Amino acid sequence: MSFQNTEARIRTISDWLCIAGGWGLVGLSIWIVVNVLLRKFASFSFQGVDEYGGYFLAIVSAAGFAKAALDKAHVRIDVVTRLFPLAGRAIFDVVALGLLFAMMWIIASKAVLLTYESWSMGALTPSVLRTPLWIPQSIWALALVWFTFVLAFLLVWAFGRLLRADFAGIEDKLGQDDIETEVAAEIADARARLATSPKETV
Amino acid sequence: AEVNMRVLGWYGNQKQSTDVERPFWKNLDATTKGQFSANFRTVDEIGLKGFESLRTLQSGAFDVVSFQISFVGGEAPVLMGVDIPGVAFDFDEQRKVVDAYRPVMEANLSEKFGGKLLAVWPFPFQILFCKNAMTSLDDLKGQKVRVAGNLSSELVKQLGGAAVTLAGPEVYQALMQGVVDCGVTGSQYGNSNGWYEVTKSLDTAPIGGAGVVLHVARKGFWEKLTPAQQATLTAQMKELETKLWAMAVDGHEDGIRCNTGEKPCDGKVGKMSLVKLTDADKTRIQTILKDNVIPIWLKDCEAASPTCKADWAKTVGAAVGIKF
Amino acid sequence: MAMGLLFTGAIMVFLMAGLHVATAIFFTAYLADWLDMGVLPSMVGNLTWNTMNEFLLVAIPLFILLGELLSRSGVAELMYKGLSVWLRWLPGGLLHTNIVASALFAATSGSTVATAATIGTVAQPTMAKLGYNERMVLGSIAAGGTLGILIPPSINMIVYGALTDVSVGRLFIAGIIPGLALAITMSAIIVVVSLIWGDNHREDGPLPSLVLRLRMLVGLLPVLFVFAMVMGSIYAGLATPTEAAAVGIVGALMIAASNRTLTVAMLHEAFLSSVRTTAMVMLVLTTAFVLNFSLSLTGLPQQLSEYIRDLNWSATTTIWVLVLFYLLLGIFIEAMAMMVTTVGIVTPLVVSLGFDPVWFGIFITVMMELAIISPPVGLNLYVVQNLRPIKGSINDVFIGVLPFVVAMLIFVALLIEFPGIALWLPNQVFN
Ligand code: NA
Ligand code: NA
Repeated sequence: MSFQNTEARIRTISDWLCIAGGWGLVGLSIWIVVNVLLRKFASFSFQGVDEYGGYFLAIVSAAGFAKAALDKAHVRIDVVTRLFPLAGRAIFDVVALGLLFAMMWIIASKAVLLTYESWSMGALTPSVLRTPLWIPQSIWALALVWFTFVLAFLLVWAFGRLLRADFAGIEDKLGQDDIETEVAAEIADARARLATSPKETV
Repeated sequence: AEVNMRVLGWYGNQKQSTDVERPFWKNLDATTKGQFSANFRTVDEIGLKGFESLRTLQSGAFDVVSFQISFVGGEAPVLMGVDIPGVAFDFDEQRKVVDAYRPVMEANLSEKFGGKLLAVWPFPFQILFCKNAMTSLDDLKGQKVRVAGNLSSELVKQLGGAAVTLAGPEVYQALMQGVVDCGVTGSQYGNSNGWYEVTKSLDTAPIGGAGVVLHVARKGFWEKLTPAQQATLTAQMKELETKLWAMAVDGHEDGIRCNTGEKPCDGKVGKMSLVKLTDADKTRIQTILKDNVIPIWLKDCEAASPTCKADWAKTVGAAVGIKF
Repeated sequence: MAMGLLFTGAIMVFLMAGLHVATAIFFTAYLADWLDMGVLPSMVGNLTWNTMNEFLLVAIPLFILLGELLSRSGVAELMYKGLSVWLRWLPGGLLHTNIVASALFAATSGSTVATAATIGTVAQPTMAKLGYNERMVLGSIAAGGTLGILIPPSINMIVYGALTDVSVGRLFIAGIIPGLALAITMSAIIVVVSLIWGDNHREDGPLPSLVLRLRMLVGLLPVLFVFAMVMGSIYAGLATPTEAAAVGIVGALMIAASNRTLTVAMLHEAFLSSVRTTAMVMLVLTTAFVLNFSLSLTGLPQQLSEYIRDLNWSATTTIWVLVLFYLLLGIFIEAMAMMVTTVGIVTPLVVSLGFDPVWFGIFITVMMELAIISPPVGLNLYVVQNLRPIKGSINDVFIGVLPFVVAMLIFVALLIEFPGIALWLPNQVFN
């Protein structure tokens, strides 16, 4: 199994997690709007839109972490590091990735622990729904574990490259895109959106 | 001090915290003649909401944690037995309920959560702030009422209202804009947070219970203390509890006076009209309590503790005369 | 105080070493806790769950998605054209359209880069036109884009509200007048600069007939419709601010459907982009809550407040020192990171000096806008640089944005002198 293959698979999974999250957002919006209308005009309110909305946010953001990492969307500041030569930049990249992994290792393992506690004490939410907390928490924790795994995968790869002194390869995969590339992507995106505009009628 | 303890207090923007708790913990070194000193923070100060209080206690991050029972009712249904809405209508009754149920809470905290109960006090009664004119609880029919817990929600539903769940920080504005018709909170909290500006009727029916708060020590911390130290801390906590009870009684009345524009008032002067609880209202609530609310609670509670029903009947039930 | 400097130093070193912003914040929190009570490791699970599972923050992905849907639904071009025929008589011509179109689009978009990229793309023709000062064109788009976070909805205000417990509804309403006032200040600067540098564009062709110009105003309707749905549902008591975001999404879907741009492919593009942005914001925000937890346990915010109070500066002096502080910070640090790392300490201080937390939310939003257009870390600058048909030096953008930096500073002075700019409307609406 080559790096490229595995990476491509990881990307596909991460993309589909985002798309599923997006459909969820649309569904949540419709549910909220229906609830708003029923509350106003029928004095009826679904219980727990806020509660499920919260779980949903936790899960969607955790599920999006990996996509954001693969697209280098997690913010870094490179005012200083970009002054270094290529090898230096590559080392900063690996250190940053390593510490991001360390942080997510801590967070993900605590999340798993929290889920286990909720399950073992049979914790329910104090709301009307009496949701067993371990259910939303376990999905959330799983998404965090997935992100941690993706980071571990990148880290192992980066160490391999470091041993082979392939700094350009590391910089290409992990380095901050120079601003030109980043912005070009942003603009290509804006153009793509506008390309779908309807033809002028006036 | 011999023992320096870390204390996590309940919400810090209320008088209970600023006028009683904060000075109490700050002066503990002096009042215990160097036996104890405390590093005191409140739950909102450190950015927590309070739903996680029992976990916080178990985590060992703090030696003493205080929390409102209704916030952890999902994890600790047995504790909820002391704060079922509609059981107590005044402080005398609430006092009886607390005294009767205290041993049950002590046992539950010790066995299930590794805690040692130090103090119990009401935050106090969580009453109704409504936008529309009301004369009795009958007028709750068709109103959208924002409540927090499942027991209050059932009570509102049985009274003919629609129970609405909203995130806490959105309630004030939701009341103002008419997203909901009523909200439930303490008379003083509603005063200091401006609810009286956006509502008209203040109904003293304790729809949200008495807002009972506990101070609980971590057992690991407690058991390391010498018997003399335990005695000192117990005595101090008893004093704290007494002060907080007195404040609950005074504060509840003061908040009602302030919101309705009566004197004397230690808060902001409002012009709400007071809806007194009638005997008919009480009877109605008690019927709903027996038929609907307690059965719901028992289902949760019995899942957590097989002796729940008997424990409650022997203690609270006997104290306030509720049989089922 | 030494502690404060240590933590500030630590976070700066971490950030400058190129760590991810979230990582830098997170390990600073660990450092602060390790030097103090040592309780963080046992609380991290709860803290992250608490933050990520907060219903008020559901507005973040919803407003991000709303902006994505709307800019993909083809409303921006028609809006720009509709505005341009009405604004081009002003000294500075189409430059005003850039500002007003940004302000209008900002009323549906919660972020600055999206606003600048969208308006910049439709405004590109102005860049090619002879007679326009190109630097001013670039500056007006970069600066106009920053209105995205001042005019509601605003992702940054939701984050501020969550960190400081300030009502997001109030912040949104409070942002309306400052947003318009800042847009007007920017337009005024364009007039001034056009009069000084000479306003010799007259290449825009004959003005369409009045009837046609009125018909072109239809192009403004979709954006106004979504804005009215969002703010109207808050104001009319239908929905809370979080729920209003959902109302906006349903509105945007309706517009996309009526423009025949609603396809599964379009939706999936919007989903990928908005979930990614959400994840980015939420990771930083989650660690910001962890840092807030650690710092408040150390008691640092209180100590700092007391320290500053002992300096006996007037409230106004303190605020101007903060303006300076944020200007410097904003040069190097990304705007959202700048806000989340500081509000936990600065807001209590400012409130203790008698400032309204809602006012401070508007203030810090304007300081974030400045950070977004101050080089070298100022993404909007690079967005417009890349839109240029004929690439020149990035210095053109830096120079072009200067008048607007001046406009923002003038506006900050006004905001400090007349806090009512921010507070009058929410007080009218809510009392
Ligand atoms: Na906006
Ligand atoms: Na900057």
